[in-house]
Amino acid sequence: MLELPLSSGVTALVGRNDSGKSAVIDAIRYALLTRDLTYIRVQPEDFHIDASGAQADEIFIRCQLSDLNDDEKGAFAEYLTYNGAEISLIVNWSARRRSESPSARRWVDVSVRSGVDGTGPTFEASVRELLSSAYLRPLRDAAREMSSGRGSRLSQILANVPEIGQGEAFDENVLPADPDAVSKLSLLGLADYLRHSVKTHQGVSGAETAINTQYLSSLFLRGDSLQGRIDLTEGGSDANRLRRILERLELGLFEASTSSARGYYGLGSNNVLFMACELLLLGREPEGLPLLLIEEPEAHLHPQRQLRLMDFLGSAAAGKVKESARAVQVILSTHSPNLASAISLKNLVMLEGGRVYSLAEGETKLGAGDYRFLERFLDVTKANLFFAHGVIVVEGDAEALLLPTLARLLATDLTEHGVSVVNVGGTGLRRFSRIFQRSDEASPSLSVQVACLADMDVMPDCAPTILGLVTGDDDKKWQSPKRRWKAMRDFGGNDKAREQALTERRKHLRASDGQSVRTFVADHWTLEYDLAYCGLAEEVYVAASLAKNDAAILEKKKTAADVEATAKTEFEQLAKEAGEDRAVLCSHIYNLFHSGNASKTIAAQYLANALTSERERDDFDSAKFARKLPRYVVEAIAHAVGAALPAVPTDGIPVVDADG
Amino acid sequence: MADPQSVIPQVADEDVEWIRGVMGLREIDRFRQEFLRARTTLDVSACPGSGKTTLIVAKLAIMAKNWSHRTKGICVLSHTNAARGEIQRRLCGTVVGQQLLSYPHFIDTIHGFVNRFLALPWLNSNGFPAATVDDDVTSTYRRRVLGHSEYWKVENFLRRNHSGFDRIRVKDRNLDIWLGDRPFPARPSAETHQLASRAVQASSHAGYFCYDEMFVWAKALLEDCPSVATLLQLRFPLVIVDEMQDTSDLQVGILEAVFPRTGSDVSLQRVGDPNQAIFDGARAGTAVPGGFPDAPTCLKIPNSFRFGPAIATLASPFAVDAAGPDGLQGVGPRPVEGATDFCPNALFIFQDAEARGVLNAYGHHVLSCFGDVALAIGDVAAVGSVHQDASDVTAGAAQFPKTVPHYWSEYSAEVGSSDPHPRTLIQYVRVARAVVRDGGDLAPGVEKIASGLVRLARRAGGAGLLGKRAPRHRAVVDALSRNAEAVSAYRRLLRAFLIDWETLSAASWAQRQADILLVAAGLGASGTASIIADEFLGWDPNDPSLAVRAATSPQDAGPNVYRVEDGCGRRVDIRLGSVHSMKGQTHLATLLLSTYWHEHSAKRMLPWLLGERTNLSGAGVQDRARLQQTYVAMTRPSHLICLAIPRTVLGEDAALTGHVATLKERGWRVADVVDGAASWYS
Repeated sequence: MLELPLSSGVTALVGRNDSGKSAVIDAIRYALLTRDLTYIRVQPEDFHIDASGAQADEIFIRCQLSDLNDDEKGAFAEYLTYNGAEISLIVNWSARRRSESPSARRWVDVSVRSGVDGTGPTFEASVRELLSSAYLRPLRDAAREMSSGRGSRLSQILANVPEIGQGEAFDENVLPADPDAVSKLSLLGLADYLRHSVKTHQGVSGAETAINTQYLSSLFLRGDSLQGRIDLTEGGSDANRLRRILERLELGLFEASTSSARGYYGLGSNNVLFMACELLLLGREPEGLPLLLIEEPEAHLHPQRQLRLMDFLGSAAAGKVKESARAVQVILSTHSPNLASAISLKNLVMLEGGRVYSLAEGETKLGAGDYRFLERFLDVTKANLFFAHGVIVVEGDAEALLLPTLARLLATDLTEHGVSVVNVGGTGLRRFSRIFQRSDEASPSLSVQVACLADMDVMPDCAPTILGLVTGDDDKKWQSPKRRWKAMRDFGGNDKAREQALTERRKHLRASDGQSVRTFVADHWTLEYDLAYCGLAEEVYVAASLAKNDAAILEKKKTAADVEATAKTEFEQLAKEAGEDRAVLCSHIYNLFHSGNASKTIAAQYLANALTSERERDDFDSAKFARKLPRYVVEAIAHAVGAALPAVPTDGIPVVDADG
Repeated sequence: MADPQSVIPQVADEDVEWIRGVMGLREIDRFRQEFLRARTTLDVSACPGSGKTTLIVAKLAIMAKNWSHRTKGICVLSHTNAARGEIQRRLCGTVVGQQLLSYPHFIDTIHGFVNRFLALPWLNSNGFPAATVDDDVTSTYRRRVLGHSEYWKVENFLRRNHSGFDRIRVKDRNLDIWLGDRPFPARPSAETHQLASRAVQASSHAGYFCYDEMFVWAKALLEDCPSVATLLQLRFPLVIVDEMQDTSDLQVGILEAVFPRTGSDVSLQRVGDPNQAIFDGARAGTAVPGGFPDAPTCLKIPNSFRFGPAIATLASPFAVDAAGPDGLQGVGPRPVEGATDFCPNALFIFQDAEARGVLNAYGHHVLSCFGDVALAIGDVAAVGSVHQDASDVTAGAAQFPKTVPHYWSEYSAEVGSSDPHPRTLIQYVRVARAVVRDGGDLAPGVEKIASGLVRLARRAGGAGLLGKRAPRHRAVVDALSRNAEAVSAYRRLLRAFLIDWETLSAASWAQRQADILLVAAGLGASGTASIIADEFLGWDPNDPSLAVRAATSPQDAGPNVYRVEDGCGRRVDIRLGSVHSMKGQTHLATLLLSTYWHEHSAKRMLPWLLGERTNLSGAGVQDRARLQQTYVAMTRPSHLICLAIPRTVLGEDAALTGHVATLKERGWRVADVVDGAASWYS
């Protein structure tokens, strides 16, 4: 049983392929029907097949409509369910398989009933029609939908526009005297007028007379009273005639400045037109369920138009569109990070692993402030997290650049694993990860593996002096309340106390871990420092030097090779000076970013390039390389991928439990 | 809120003309036009034979034709499905007819309305299973809950209190019980009370309810969610209640709660005839509840198409509420071949102990008034207010003639019951055959048999899966679909009863038992032994369809039909019954028999008969019911009304002479009945 609470306004179903977005839309379509009057025939494959291969005999769909206004409650009075003061309409759709073969007559029994558990009355056809939703199928051919022809969507839409029947009838005996009188005619009146004019047209009437007097009269026997008549094919009831007039209309696009049609417009433009049309109808109809289902509204639209479309859907949902009397509820499915980022987070529903995860307030661990924050900062560059198998949330561009490369060097391709690296900049690491945490711990959690990569931000005690933050161990700045940085000595006087305090700090950084979210904290300070400290000291130093000289290299004042060679010499010197003390060496390396103004991002790029070419070398060994990496990085990648890394020998990475 | 006036379409002259054509109506006079055009709340008091139901259908057709709302509809409520039947008959095949019978309109009984919009939604919302509403089935269920000895403990106790187990009803939402309309005659702690409560609780939680109990749940919804009234008012801007005079206090209570006459936007149009309110029971003799008709808004339709001015004049004084400013008017009758429009309405005076001769005298008078063509088409009836057996009162007793059988001893009130609801399965089969025979269409007969089988299964605790879905046949076939044996048994039964037309006898019925049991089991009934023991399945020689047929084609001499022959080959069949059973009917000729209820009815009615009193003036409390009974009886015939009056009522000598003179002056032909023949006063 899958239960999906929906809110008013726009709801977007997001998720990967085959996550069940269309199944949700289909369920609503089956239960409520759609306005295009497509006949819904239950297919054999609609019945669920479980893991053992057995197929279910029944399908059950229940739609509960709440927040009805009084008119709607009146309209569905006999079908309502009363739960205290809360009145709702429940549609229970069920299909029971009666035979194996769909070719048998009545092979499946469908019943649509109201009430709790479907014990209320069966819905009459006309009532189901009122409940039917507007549905825009994926990969729709909007141009065809909008073109003329029998049963065209446009004619259906127009037939439902309340004003379509207005105007005066045509009276053969009182011909319209002037254009003004003509303009007062109804559509049917106009058609009658045309028909009348055709009949009285000289050519037509002449031909008719000729047929009757010159041919028929000489072929028939005396007493036969048949007469030929030339006429437009019309007739039938007024409703039928109107339908046929409407079917001849088509909606096209033209250039507004010249008012001329310039051939066919693209799929995207027609698509927008089509959606505008459906919304027009939904918003203006005085009754019926104002529900619009759109699969992949992004189809054929470029990103900016997608954003415009979302804005428009949003205002239609709020009932703010001009000419529209009421708010429309929109349920859409999308693969587009563009759309997903444009929709308010609380209106998103993630589908994954056969389950739905609403991101509405209260459903996730996100607080009210988180929603406000994410509304601002969850942009298109981050919105692909909704579609990922795994997510690595990082705090900077350097991490974002480096991680895919590091993963590749560990023989693991993040793209291949559907892992997105989301860079949240300096802030909001927690806020983003909370998207993936359900408020109800007992309910199933998302299986998307989320790894947060966090800096430890604790310098070795030698670093502040090397970085020039203080002049020595006795500098007064150590005591300054304005000091933003932390060093080891801040965590206690002896090793034992320090270790305890550092563990505390790690714990704190991991405080909101849980469900599939885990935070991986640097062992020492930052990614760059830790990379250098762990085994890539020279590589980081070279990359930082290249970054420092990046402008000069670009301006061809220096060559990369020269800078690299110089850097290597400098590094040897530094290493010699530092001796056994890696903290001193790495602090000096890190100083390039601090005092030397090397950009971390550019350095990351150089480092990524250098490491990639390292990989090309014949003697490259992933396992060996893994030992040069800080273990928290390796662990983070492994967590996001959801598996042990092929290149990493299990003994190479000490298993760290969540508490550190 | 929307103004209902904007929702209810206006009626134009063309609309009136249109419906006149569609329904083949005569000219529609101003009274009727006023009703057709009315869009606001009003009461309509329509005299007998005014074509009330036809008029309502005409109005509905016009409304439906011009109705533009998809979610708001017209609600028509009555006691019977007469309006629905009339729509099906007169507007079948038309678009408006189809529209009226489906969403968003609602045309049904008051019970149907209460169930659909109030009671069932409440039950459904409060966790009760799909409801089965049927007095008989529910009582049977409750009986089974208790088992034999406990059931008889309660039944015997209640019988000693002049009631019975099947009159136990749920009284409120806490499932407290009453006995009909009075409290249970034992303390709640008493064993009988406890047992009865247990039975009622079990049946309620299984979803079995009696008809009247649905009002309890309707009230529960109105209490829990008072806004439901507003919703229903929005849904039904126009509500028409037909036969308003026969609504019970319970029904009026709900109607007023949902569709108040004032203070809401609903146009409530109540139609009825206060003069014909003769439903028996506790309310006999009291005014119609709900203050119907409300004098200031009342539109009176005083002219009847049924009869001419003569009958109208004679019946008019008996109206409790004057039919119009000039009393009851007669603008009929429809010409009938072999009948004159001016039949001598006759008053038969008989020696009190000699009531038997009256029917003969009446029969001969009828034969002299009408040709055989008229008699073949028309219905000749004799009616009395009291028709139950009273064989303890014999000729010569002061109360004699007390009841209809005193005029003809072979009369039986049981057979005369107009309720065709079969009591046994074999009766379902008979009714099914009668329906097929009369209508020539198999489907309604199949439905009847299917209903009977479902009821049998229900009595044995089955058919729960079926729900309330109509049509029954479809439901049975669906329920049996996975049970090939039961399906073929079911088809064998239909074939034997309705196609092969098997002769029904105790022996042939016994042969069908096996198939019937198969179907019952297929529908989920349990316990073959108890089904066989069930009286519902037993052989029953009574044929209710005869009574049904007698009502529709009076030519067949059946039970309660008294035949008079003139010795020259002509004859007339007189159908006897209670006034109540003849409500709504039209006869060629009607004889009202004097009966006794606290007093001889003719005696109490004499002042009105003599023209000394009219309407309610000077009427005693009990006279109200007598007036209504007399009025209903006297407005049945299209051509001839006759009265039978015991001699002593008119007094002796001078008084008698004077009364006879007055009666003749008022338009009656008066005769003494001597040896079964009329001796006319000159």
